Amino acid sequence: MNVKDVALSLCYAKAFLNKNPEPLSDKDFAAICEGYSFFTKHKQISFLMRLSALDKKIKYEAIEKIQKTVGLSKKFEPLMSLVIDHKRAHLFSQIFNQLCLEYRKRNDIRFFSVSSSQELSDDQRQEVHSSLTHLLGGSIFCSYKVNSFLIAGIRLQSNEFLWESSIRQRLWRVQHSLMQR
Amino acid sequence: MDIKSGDLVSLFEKALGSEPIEHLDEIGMVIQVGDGICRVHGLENAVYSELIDFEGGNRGIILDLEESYVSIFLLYNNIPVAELEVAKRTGNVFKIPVGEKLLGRVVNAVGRPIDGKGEIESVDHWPVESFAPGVIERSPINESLETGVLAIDALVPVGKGQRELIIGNRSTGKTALALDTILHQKGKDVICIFVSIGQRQANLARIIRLLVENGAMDYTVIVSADSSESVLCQYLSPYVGCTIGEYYRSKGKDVLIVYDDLSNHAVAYREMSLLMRRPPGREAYPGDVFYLHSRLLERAGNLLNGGSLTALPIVQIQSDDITAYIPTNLISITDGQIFLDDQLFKSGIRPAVNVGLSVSRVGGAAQTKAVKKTAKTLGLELAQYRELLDFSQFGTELDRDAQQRLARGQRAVEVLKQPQFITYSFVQQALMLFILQEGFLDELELSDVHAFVVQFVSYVESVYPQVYDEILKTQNISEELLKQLFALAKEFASLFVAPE
Repeated sequence: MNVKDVALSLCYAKAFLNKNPEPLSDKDFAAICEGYSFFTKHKQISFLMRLSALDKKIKYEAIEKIQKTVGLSKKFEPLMSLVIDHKRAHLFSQIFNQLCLEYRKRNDIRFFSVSSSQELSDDQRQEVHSSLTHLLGGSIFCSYKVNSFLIAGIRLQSNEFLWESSIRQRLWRVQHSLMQR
Repeated sequence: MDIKSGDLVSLFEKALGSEPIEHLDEIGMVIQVGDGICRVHGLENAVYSELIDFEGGNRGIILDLEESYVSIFLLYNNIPVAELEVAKRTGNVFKIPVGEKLLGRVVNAVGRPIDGKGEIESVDHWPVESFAPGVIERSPINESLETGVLAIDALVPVGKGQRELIIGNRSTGKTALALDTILHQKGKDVICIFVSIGQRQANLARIIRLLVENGAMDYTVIVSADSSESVLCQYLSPYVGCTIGEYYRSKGKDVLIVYDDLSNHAVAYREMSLLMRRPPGREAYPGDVFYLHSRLLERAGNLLNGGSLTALPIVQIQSDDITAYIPTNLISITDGQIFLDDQLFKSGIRPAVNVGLSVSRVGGAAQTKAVKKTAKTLGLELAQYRELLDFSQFGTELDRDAQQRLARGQRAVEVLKQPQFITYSFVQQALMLFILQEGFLDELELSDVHAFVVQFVSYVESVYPQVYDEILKTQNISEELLKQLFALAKEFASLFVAPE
């Protein structure tokens, strides 16, 4: 990952959100996330967008099609045109990612990925959710999955925070303290 | 007994149940990994010089804060850091374990033992970066720290709490001089710390063996960051040594710290700065390279409430050029310098101290009275000798006075020659200088000078111990004692038989 690309993408994302201070609709937010996963999945598109040999018109056409595929509204058109005009179309993946992160940060929305060694019951899920809400406030969304590598325990991870209490983690600690001796 | 894996899992889960979600670790993602450095996106509340834990087990220190990422230097070369790895804030700065049990041990830049003698029991953890003592806490330098090297103790004396730079070309005896000083501290209640920065491991092994063989490890701690270690470790090692020194100073002890050498330290910092893309300045060093060393050396000093930290930083120069960037910086930071001359070294004058270029700005006040009294004309005599020596090389005919000065200078140089690992106490030094000052060596052959002074010292020590003890006790040579010594020297001169 290029550090400069990350910094530039963050600037585009911040500029877009500053120009559009009203909250995004659920559909728009979902479209941004979809856009990010689309570009992550199809990395060759970012590469092709970088080619100066490709005409700007073709790039516009391609972006229009992607816009329709992921369901982005017209609100995003100026941003996309600006990025293509600046010859930075290869940054779209990062810009969508930064848009997601920045929007979540500004609106106090956090997505937690909760992994546990065993399937959590509804009560346990509720407990995790209420603990996080109590601790951080704002809107908390959790996705749950089973991760047998934890051996026993639970791991809560968002883009900004991490909490883990598992056997795997303890074994790691033991391993590293032994390695350092 | 048959145990099901499910039972074990629930047993573990029960053990883990007591760990409450008190606080969440703030994390970021590694977005770029380089040579000893990585850049992490996120960690928005991270602070400069904060310690960061990586999920893969490595650790690092934040040394650059940008708007969208932070640059972290890694502590361990052998633990890989991967892109997108989670980096956790610790909320702490880098600390090292300190305690009395460090004595006699060899530790690396993170304070872990590397001498194979097992773990070190530490009593506390101290941050490696700390404020230098303020003016209120400091006491004037008024006590001598004997190096045991006659040329230094007589001409560029070092006081407790002083910072005296050892400067010279490669292979001119800089480390040997520092080691001699450490060896001389035996039985003097001075704790010694030797910081090896970016040196070869074979060199360090030789130094350790030497210290062990001479029984100096009992009061010495070695901090090592050899050339194979991460650039961060090489950068940290002098601060780690200084922190250990400060710990002992806080206990009221006198500490001597040797930084071998700060040229390597500056090079390590230059590498870090270039990796952080900071603008390079003179010789590609960053603009804050002066602060790098000034904040380290300012931590040395003599404190009012007891305890002192004396620093002997070493710096290597190229072709006797003391006007290079790092040497001039260090000369201006320290309280004097001992310049080791390549030409003198090659002509067999060892220690190769260039008296003209060496200076001690504060040590004179701390010099023992006995040595001060007997060495008062030595500097002038050597200066006159050097001038006349240049003059005599033109084949000019010299008058009798000039010839006498030349002869005296030659004998002074002979007296100041000293074999490695043999150090002299201040009484021995005072006796040697007395013999020279009073002209007892003027009539001797040059080859007999060394034997004469050494034998005279041992003659006084064994035949007239009361004289020796009087100087030792009073640290001075009274007029009466001076007369007595004069008589003793005459007596010895009549007995002296030159070795074959």
